[in-house]
Amino acid sequence: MHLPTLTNVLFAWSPMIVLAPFIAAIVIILFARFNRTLSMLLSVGAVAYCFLHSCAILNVLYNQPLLNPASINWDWFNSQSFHLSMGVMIDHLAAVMLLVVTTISLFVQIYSHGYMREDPGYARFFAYLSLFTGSMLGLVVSTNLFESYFFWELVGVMSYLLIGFWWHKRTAAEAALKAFIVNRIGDFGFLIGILFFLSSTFGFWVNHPILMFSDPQGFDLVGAIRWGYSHGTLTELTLTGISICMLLGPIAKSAQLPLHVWLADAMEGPTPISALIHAATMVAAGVYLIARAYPIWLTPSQTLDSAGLAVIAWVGGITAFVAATIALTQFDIKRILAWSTVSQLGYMFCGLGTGAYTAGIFHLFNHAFFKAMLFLCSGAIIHALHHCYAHDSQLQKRLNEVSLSDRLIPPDQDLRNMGGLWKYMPITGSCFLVGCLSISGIPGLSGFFSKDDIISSAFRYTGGGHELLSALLIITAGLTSFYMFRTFFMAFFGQYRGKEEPHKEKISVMNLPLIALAVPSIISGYLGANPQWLPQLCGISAPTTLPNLFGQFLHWGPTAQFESANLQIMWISIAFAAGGILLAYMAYVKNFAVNSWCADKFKPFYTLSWKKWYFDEIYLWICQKLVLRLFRSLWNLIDMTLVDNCVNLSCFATLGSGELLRYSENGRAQWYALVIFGSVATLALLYFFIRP
Amino acid sequence: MPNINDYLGALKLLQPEIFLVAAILFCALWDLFFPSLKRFTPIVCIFALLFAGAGLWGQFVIGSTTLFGGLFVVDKLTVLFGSLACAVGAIVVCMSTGYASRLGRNAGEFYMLLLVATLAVVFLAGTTDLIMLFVGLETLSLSCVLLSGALKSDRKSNEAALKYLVSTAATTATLLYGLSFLYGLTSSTYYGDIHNRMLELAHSPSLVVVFLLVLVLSAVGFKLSAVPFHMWAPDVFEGAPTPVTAFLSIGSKAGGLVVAIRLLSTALGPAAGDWSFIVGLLAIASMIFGNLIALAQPSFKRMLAYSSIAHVGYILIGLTSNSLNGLAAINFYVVVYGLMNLGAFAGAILFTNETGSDRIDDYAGLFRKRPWLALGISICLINLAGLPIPPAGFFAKAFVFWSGIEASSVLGWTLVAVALATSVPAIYYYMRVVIKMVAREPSDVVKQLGPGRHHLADPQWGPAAALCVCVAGIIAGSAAVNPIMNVAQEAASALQPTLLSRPGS
Repeated sequence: MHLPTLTNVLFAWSPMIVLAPFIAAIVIILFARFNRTLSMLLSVGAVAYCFLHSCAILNVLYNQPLLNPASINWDWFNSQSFHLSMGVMIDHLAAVMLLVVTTISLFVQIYSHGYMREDPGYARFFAYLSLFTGSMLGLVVSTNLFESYFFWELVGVMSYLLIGFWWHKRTAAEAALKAFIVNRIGDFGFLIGILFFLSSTFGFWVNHPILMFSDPQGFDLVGAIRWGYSHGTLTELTLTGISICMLLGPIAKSAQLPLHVWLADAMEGPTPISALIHAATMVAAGVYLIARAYPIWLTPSQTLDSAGLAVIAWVGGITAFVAATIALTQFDIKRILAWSTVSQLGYMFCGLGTGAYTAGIFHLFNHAFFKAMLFLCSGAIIHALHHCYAHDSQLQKRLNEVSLSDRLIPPDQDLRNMGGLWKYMPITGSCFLVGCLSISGIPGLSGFFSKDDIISSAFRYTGGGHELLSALLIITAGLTSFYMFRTFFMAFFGQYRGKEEPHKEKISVMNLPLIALAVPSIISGYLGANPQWLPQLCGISAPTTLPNLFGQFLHWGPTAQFESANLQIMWISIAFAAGGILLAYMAYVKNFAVNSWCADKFKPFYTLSWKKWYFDEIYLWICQKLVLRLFRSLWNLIDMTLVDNCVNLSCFATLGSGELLRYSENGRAQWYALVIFGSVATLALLYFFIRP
Repeated sequence: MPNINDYLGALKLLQPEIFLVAAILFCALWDLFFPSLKRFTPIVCIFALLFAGAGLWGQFVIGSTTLFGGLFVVDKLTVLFGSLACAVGAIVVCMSTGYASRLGRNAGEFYMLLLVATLAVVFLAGTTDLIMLFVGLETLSLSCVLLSGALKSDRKSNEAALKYLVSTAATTATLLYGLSFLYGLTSSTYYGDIHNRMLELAHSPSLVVVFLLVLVLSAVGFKLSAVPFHMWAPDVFEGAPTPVTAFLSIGSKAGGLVVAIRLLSTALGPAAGDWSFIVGLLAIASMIFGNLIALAQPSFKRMLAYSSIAHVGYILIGLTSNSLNGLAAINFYVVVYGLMNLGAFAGAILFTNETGSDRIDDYAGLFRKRPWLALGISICLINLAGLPIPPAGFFAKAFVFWSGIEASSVLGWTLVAVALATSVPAIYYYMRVVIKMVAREPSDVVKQLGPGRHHLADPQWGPAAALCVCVAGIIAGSAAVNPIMNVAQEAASALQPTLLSRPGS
């Protein structure tokens, strides 16, 4: 294939997409951290370059689809049996993800300029943002699982640093640690899975870079699985084991049950971080990785009816439901959004698990825009309300010192202190409304298109229990629209319930990214729609699967597959969503006492939701009562008896030899010579007599 | 008959060495004639070493060339170890500038001796003759003795020099004894002839062969400070000036190692089955004793000294396997280990210069006061421990262990098992320092440190530059594992023809 020159240049320079943010970060850390404007410009400039480059790549791929991914590979280590490489691979999936990451990162960085303006750590913040962006882009364009793991850890570290950005706040420091530990558990499983997979297909990779996602000659994951299956080193059972081990990584990173506990607490970080990392990009990395290494989760013969996919589907379905129920009763606006993120990520998992590959990625794509926008809106609200409580030094001191387990909601994030904000911030309010409508799946906005594809594919799912799975998702859709509109009505409608009047909003560097992100939140769904769909919606018969732009782009080539929507299911889910909105309207605008009635009548359920299903409490109990106790006794045994004795023995030996040497104080050097001669004689005789 | 053109051609290939000799003469005379300009000596030394190193490196592309009727060979192994020695020499000179105030008037001759020692290593790297071997080893030993005693008014330094002298005299005796046996058996001093004669003798092993092997190995083991020929090392390492300790722990060891590689796998290649067992014994003893004794050291320098004994144990694993991969792994290990070890010593000089202390407990909390210094030392120590942050040290260890496994002999397996087991205390004692520096409350000594802003004229500048170079080298080495490994493999394959002709096993 002979590509035009410009295209070649674009692909040849694609490593710069990853390197530019890293270079910006290093320059900021080394030279520019004392100059706020310069560090901001460097960081934004780098990501703007990445954005333009990604757009250009997307454009090229759209006009001239690639059959094989364009990849650049450097050997990192190369021997006959083991060939490790790092590189950059651009294919259609990566191009979509590049666009998501760079767009969100660009707008979030512009927004941060306003949000963090008064923070003393402004330059450090931009350095971290750049480092994160670079690591995330590296993860997106990884050519092999090993490289993915490398960047996977790097984004984890950056997430740790950014959650704990305000480390002097105790909750923030603890939340960062919690996120890190939970992610370590997942990453450990991920690494075990990779190593297990590598060891069972080791012979396949001889003379080829290991664990490649894609290779024109077929030395990639699919080829490895086929090889392992035909050589008997890989069976259906071991592949399932490997895939479930590896799944732990995405489960932790995308905050799925049972490793979801960190994401809500990660909201202790600055709000732009919540928007960028914990809503749009890093948490979606789990979904992206599943999509990237999809063959691993399929059956050895690459069909969809595998146990690995079933686990993904059910984890996703249950998480979507559980997280939505938790979001119902929370009052902290950021945490509600965090739980809704967990819930939506559950949808994506379920989509990938039930075989709706396109729909899962499509939901990731749409969700990134509207959820980032929702978070930025919440940040704008917090920013506007912050001054009302900033001078209450006693409150601020308590907020700084209280621990995570008995944390109190900061008053500027508490829905109960809001109300009537539409009057003060109409732009933020309208953007928030767009986001709510979109996430609720109201027809016409982006969330609707992808969500219904996923629910329909869950209904079509052949792995057993498809009614339950789709019912879970449909109920979740109703719950989602209820809690999102509960948030919207409590924040923007009714009377203002806070202490002092908030500022009126002005057009500023913080509004522009909101408006910019509102546009894709409305229209991005149409990429996955087909005009011929409309008759189908009205009940006139039409083919069940219709090609669409997004699916066509994602699966360019003969393997294109399109997921169709199921009409009945669609109407039911729309009805549920509308019902949720109506209920929220009744409860929070018309002030029917629905919620207090519910809270009284269903007290146990209310408490269950309020306490987040007691996951934190259960984990804490397991850790303290079982793991730590066991560890302590084991440690005592090993440390007291083994290590101490070893150390004592070596001390004793040293002391002893010292004594021995002191014994011949005046002749030490001669003693050395004697030892040399003695050793020669001993070694020679010893070897001569025991020689084999 | 060799004619004058051969001789001139040989001289052309020896240009880097001749350049070093010129630098040695310069160092010896410059201070005498221009005492007021003596601060230029180290700078000239560094440039001379870098030029010589670059000149040697330029010879990497040419194949093996034997010079002077078999006294000396220029091949890829010579080039690798020669340029490594020059790099080590340059870094050590850099470190010494921070130490020179203690050397008093003798700074010039100190640098001269350092250059002589480096030159000796360069010659040892290419030696293919017993006479040349002996001359090279003696030059190295004597200049190291003098270097150890460079602090003339310091009793410990004097003691170190004297002990080193006596020990080295003892091993000179054993080496000469061994070499005379070898000559008696083979009636040649040229490695190639010895190899052929040993092939004939391989069928009838005798006590004499075993004895001569042990005698030769005692001298090599002494240079490498392998147990049980290590007795001199801790005392000398502690008493000698710290830059000299750094040189002894890597520069002079590289000399001993390249002699071992070339002599054992070419000249004595036919007796590989015999010597690999003895080397294996030395390796096991070194790993166990080195690591266990390093565990209990309160002084940072002494801890590094004992741990360098342990590292020799790891290196010898690659030698026992006597395969291309094993030798390549050794080459890789020496390059990476040289950087890590020199970096750690440079950090120790920086710390001792400022605080006057060398106790590990005093390093506590260094990260609060000197974050960059603590970070640099930590990277070196983490790599010495073999942990993969960044992975240069980890790869080095992994390659050596892998070559032991590949040998698939009882000896290989035993060695790797011992190495893995003894790596655990190694991780403990290295990481103890790192954890102390980063996580603990500052010690009294560290608390008294003022704000540190160094300028170029500061004596701390030299060691700081050395530390930076080492850390940068480690990071670059982690990124460029493949190119370095390629070089290591090519250097090892310079010996391959003789390896292949090894009969019987």
